[in-house]
Amino acid sequence: MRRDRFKSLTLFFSILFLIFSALFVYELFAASSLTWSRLGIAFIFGRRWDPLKGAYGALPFIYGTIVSSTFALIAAAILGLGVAIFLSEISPKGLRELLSAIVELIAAIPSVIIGLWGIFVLVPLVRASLQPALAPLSFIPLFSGGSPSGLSMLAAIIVLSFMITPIVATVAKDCLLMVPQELKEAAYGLGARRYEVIRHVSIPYAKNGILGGLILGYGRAIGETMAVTMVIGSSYIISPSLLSPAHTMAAVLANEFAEATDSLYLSSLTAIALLLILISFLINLAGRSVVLRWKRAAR
Amino acid sequence: MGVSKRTAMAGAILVLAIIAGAFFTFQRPASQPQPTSTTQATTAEPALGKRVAIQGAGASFPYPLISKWAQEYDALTKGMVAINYQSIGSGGGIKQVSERTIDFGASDAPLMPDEAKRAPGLLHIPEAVGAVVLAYNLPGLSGRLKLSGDIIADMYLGKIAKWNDPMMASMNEGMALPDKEIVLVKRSDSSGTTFIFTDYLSAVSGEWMRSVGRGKVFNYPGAVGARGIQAKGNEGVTAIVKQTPYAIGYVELTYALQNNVPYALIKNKAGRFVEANFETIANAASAAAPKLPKGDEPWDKVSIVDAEGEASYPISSFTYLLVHKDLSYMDKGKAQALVGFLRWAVTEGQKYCKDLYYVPLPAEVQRLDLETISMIGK
Repeated sequence: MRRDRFKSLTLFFSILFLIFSALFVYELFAASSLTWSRLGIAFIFGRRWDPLKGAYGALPFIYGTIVSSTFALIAAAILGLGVAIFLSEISPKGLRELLSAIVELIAAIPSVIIGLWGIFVLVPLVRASLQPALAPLSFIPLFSGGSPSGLSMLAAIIVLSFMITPIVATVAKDCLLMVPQELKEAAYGLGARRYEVIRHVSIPYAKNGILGGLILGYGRAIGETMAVTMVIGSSYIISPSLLSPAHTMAAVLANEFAEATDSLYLSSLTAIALLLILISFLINLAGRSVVLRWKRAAR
Repeated sequence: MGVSKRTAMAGAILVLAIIAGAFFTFQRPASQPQPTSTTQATTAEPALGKRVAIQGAGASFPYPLISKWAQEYDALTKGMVAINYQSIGSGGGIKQVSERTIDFGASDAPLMPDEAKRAPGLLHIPEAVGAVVLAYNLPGLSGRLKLSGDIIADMYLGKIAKWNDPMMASMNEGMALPDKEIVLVKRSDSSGTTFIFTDYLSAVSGEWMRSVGRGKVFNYPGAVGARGIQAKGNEGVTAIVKQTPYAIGYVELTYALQNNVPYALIKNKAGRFVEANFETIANAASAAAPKLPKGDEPWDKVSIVDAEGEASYPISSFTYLLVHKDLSYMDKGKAQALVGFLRWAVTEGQKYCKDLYYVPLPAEVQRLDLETISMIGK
């Protein structure tokens, strides 16, 4: 009896949360209806954003968000997985606890502080050292051109990977630590070396969880606002080069929402917020479907 | 197991109770006295009347000044009038005061026609004057850079690309300007600073007016887009100018002063090169005063850039308080307190401007403001 009541209470909370999320999306959609009715799908593929001239196209922001967070995710996956493997499989126990605590601490640094570090330390470094170092590669479009200040997509990618590596590393480490000892011992018993155990036993066992960590990190990178806004250079021009300034969806909201008064302008910014939510949602969904497929294959 | 479930249940009920309590408290009308709070109120406030709280919101530029006013006015009225100001941006301020959810708004730019249409009867009250300067970074250069409106427009339009351009050199005779590309910096976020800057360039350059225009954001025109830099906030632009050799950018005067960044002398309408300081900026405001509209007329055409006068600094602007002419949407005591505060802010309150690097209103504009304030409720 009491168990039933408890069950319905938790159900009530879950439904409440669902209703809130739905209302949230509905509200964004309603507030951006002017943009959808006036510009329609052209808003998503428009390359020009010039509020003074009444031109609203969201493509530069969508492009910047996806490129910056994808590159950051690749960097964080490599770095984070390395950290996680070291902490879970290789390091002695005392060191593991100390290092884990430090990694988790880095994840807790407020993003505005990382942004300040970005503008005062990283950006001059990109200008004075990284750009000249990458100059020989300038025949590749990805590294062509440059920004005289160092504010660039590259700076944003570095800041983002610094922010999400601890998340990826912490989640992956916890998953790797959950691999049953018997399984590993059996592999050792069969004559496997440490690398082979990690490669063929631990990682396959923990891959669902690791992917979960990557999705979490990707979500953080897509939505990250403050730190990115401070270093990306906020250019409305889509450039193939990582050394050029760019823009993201979260950054344009942070930059322009407070002073936007014209109604189409405000509605277009809201439309970008809606797109941002939808994109995060789709990426989450894609990640989940991969996990689901793996689970089914394992069965 | 049973225990932890019970704990969870109790926790959930507690949370619900708190939420319900909060709703209940917030929904209770403030004027309906509660037995416990009345006793407290009477002991704290002797017969002088009710304590009022005035809510304002808007631009971030005047935030330090309004906070100072709030503090001083609280002391002056012995805690009877509390001013709460939230710097949420001009957009939010205009929206909220138009919808009458707050008592006054603040904006760095006057209302544009479509905004004014949505809020008929909203009065413009200039509260202080701000100025924008061109901060630059020219390593090894002694002396002060001189610029004119044409040259600034041509730089930002991409027609002058190098520091030693002949136009630039003829204006700065005797200075060894380097053969380097000019690194342009502008604001990436929308702001009143950008509005003042583009307002000035639109006033002095027809080409700027046609190809870019005036507003709180603008796009670098044409090819400049690929090399121009954008930074967030006055602090961001100042930081980039300071650390990037051969850069130039526009910032509020305060930021150039506080960060010790050199800024250019600007040629005014009378042909003189003037430095931005308290006097030259106030001169610009005085020069424009006779032509200002009444408080309840449209202000969208108002601009004090490129002002007349030998010693007027040309890139300056008012920052505004916005108040409804008809205050019947708030209770009488509050409306009276608001009017009292406004009167004080535009006269007595002006003495706090200089310490915070705002330029006080010249006497002519104070008079206009008092006239505007006396329209309230009529």
